[in-house]
Amino acid sequence: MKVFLDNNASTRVDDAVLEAMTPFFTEIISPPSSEYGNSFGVEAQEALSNAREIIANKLNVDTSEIIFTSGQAESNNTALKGFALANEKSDSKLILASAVSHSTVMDPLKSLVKHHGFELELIEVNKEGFIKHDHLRQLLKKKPLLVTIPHGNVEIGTIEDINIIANICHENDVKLHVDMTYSFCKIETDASVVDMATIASHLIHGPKGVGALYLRKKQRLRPLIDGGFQENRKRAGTENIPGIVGFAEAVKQFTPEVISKITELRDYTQELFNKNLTEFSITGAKDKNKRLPGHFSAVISYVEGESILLYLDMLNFMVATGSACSSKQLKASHVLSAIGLPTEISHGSIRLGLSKYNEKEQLDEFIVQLGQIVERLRAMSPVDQDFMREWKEMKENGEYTEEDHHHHDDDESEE
Amino acid sequence: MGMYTKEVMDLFLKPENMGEIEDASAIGKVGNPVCGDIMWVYLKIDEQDIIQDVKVKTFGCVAAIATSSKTTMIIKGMTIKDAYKVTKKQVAEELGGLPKTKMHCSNLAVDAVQRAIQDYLKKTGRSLDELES
Repeated sequence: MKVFLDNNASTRVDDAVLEAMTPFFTEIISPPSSEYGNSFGVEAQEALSNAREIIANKLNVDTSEIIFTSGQAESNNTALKGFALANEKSDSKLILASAVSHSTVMDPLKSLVKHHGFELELIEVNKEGFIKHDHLRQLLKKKPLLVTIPHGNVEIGTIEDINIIANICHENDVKLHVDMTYSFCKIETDASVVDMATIASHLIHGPKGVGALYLRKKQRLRPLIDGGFQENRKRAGTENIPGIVGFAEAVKQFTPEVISKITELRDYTQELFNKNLTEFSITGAKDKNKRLPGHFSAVISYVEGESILLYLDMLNFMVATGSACSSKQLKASHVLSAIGLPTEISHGSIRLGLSKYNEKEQLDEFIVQLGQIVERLRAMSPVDQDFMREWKEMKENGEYTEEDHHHHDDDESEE
Repeated sequence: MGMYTKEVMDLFLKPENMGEIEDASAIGKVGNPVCGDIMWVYLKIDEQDIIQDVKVKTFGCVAAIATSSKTTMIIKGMTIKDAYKVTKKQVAEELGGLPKTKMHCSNLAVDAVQRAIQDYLKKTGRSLDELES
């Protein structure tokens, strides 16, 4: 039996969600239409309005401010590119992003820089992954067009205080976009304090391929996808009714009991790590109440994350890592680098996302296996405390330079 | 099936020749902690230049562990001259191939073996030229 402990990547669809969706695949098949449509169209329209209301209520915003999308990547792209391009003629071309933003924020911004002449500056974070308010204030003096930050961080779990950040931005008359993908339903949030927010369905036991963008009333936005009247002309295309219905049902199912359970599982995981493992450190906010419930991340010394991950996978436990060796570019996670972890430390990164379908017994078994794996990998590793001490001295004495460190992209043999 | 072949995964889970040799004739060290892969190869070489025993200690990913173990399996019992000629390509082929990105950064044990052999020849006052012929 496989044990899925990577619920910040995706989650199992709730049975109630699946049940709510099914009629919209097989019975109520017309696209929504408000008037002159057939009765299926009217039913679909009602389902769409109902879902929009549930989601708007959860965020404390108006139903007219919700645009359904295909998920996190589309919502972030729509928010950032859509806002920037709608304001292309503005004096400012500068966008500020938290240094620990998700790739679906970073890459659209890089694209705006490369193809549309925008500028990007990163807001520094401290060792716990919180934005440095002083640095933000300093950058705001440059009169940027927009600020974007994540609410809950997927890699280290740190939850940013969006009320404070929104105040700082608005005092300076700058708009704020917040990626709430990982915090939505898990942290009670009043999204109306920000100007745009991204949410997604697949992390709360809803289906993949559905999300939404909250866009404050009267705010200009150039759509990414043109070609229809749907979503207030902000996102063309036949609405994904089954997905949207499932998304709303998932929001309903994410009750306070679910939050309690995943918080308890997270605390239990932390206890198990403390009892069973040596030489590791937890990443993210020190105060666990300022980390996402259900999120646990750490770096384990003298072992490498990909090895841990694939070992665990063979034993049917699925987790995630931010190790360089597990990324396609062989680069350490930019989040772990931004919180000041050197590459040699972030190699040992491991992270767990716990859901209501996980149980303490699974974690009991998991920690035994993890302990054995770490022991086995450490036994075959030349890296230990002494090694790291010598390495640190080498670095401090300048005996190691970046030229010694390069990766080859070609596939040629060295003969 | 993931990014690795069955041969790689099998050897990763049950690697051979892991560890160190106390009275090694030569040791070859490669890698650095920033790259993420570090391998230390220990050779025990007899009077006929035959590698009687070989062990390796590895820090790194699945590919690093599997290739370092495979390298030791290939060179055990070889003369140092033959062992010096073993290539990364050969190690990768015997593992049914490696993902492109892992070919260089994690397939370093061959370098460690060559370094150990060079070290051995220097220590015993011999010339590196004899490896070339």
